[in-house]
Amino acid sequence: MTHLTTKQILQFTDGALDYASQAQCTQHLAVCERCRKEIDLQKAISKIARHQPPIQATSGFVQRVMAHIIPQQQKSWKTKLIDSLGNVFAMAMVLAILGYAISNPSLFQIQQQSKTQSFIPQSVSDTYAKFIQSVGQQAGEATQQVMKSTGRDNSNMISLTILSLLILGALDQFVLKRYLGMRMKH
Amino acid sequence: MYDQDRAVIERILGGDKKAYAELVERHKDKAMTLALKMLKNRQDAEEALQDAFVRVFNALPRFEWKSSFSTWFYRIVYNVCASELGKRNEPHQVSIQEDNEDAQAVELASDDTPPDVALESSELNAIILKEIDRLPDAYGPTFALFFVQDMSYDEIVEVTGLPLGTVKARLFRARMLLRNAVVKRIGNIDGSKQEKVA
Ligand SMILES: [Zn+2]
Repeated sequence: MTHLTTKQILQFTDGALDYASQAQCTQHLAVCERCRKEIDLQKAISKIARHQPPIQATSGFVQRVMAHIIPQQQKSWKTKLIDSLGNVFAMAMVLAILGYAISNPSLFQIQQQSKTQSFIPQSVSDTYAKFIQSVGQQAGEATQQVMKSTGRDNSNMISLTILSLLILGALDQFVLKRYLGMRMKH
Repeated sequence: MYDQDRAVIERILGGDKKAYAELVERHKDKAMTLALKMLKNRQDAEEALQDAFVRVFNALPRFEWKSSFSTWFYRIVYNVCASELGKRNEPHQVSIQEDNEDAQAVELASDDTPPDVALESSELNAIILKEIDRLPDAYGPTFALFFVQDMSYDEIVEVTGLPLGTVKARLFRARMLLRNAVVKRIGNIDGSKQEKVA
């Protein structure tokens, strides 16, 4: 007797045979115990394989995944806030130092064209001066160093601007973000 | 399942990001089965799966329903696990010999008849589950996708990127290895029972 091939047995088990082959196999199975047993065993294996209990993820898995998903949004607005705070602060500082430079012609040796001492009102320049002094001595000293070492008027202004940008960039990047970032995490 | 997934995904895309938890809950255990079959280490499997779920979430707006969510989802899980295997220097491949479709030519001997055993017995159940776990690494994922994820050959091809012939050959060999291991173990059960009777 020619038995069913292994392929036929598996296809019969899966119900994957076409009508004619299915009928042919059924005819053989009616008279062959060996193939019948084989198919019964394959059916049992398939049934158990199909219903094997899935391996459970550890408890809290869903929460851990969601923690990666929901805080993505929270983190982004916090980051945006920190970024904009840093930028606003940096811009204010640059304007303050530039204002201080413009409103103190004696310090910066800006050439006076004639009558105009400064186009910034005295009261505003005083406020700028106080504000800058409060920023810290180091920045002030460094600024004065630059101002002393460069003799020409335009280069004074350019150096001062670059220096203030560097200081404020560093402040923005390392101090403000790190400090605020740490506070947000806690 | 398909409609349930679709409804949840539409809610997520509509802005209800918390609804993603439902999708994770629904698929996590079956996906874990696949990840563990591939990575063979619980912690690695869970980390890979977590990574896969985050990727799936981020990619959801680009999902176009060209295939079922399940097929698309398992492709991402499979790829994350495969790249993890790649990092371990264990690319997810087997030798050409094992993948050869000629594997289908393996035939049972005509006198190779399975011993009598109660097919519904818990003993047989335990034997089969144990032997499924012991399938060679290359066959485990294909076997899981076919039986646990209930996928067709074509869907397995889509998930794994393997040629159809390879998928068929792996599944065929896995089932025959399982059959032979089970028959061997049943033989032992029968033997021990006969000894006890005698
Ligand atoms: Zn037969």
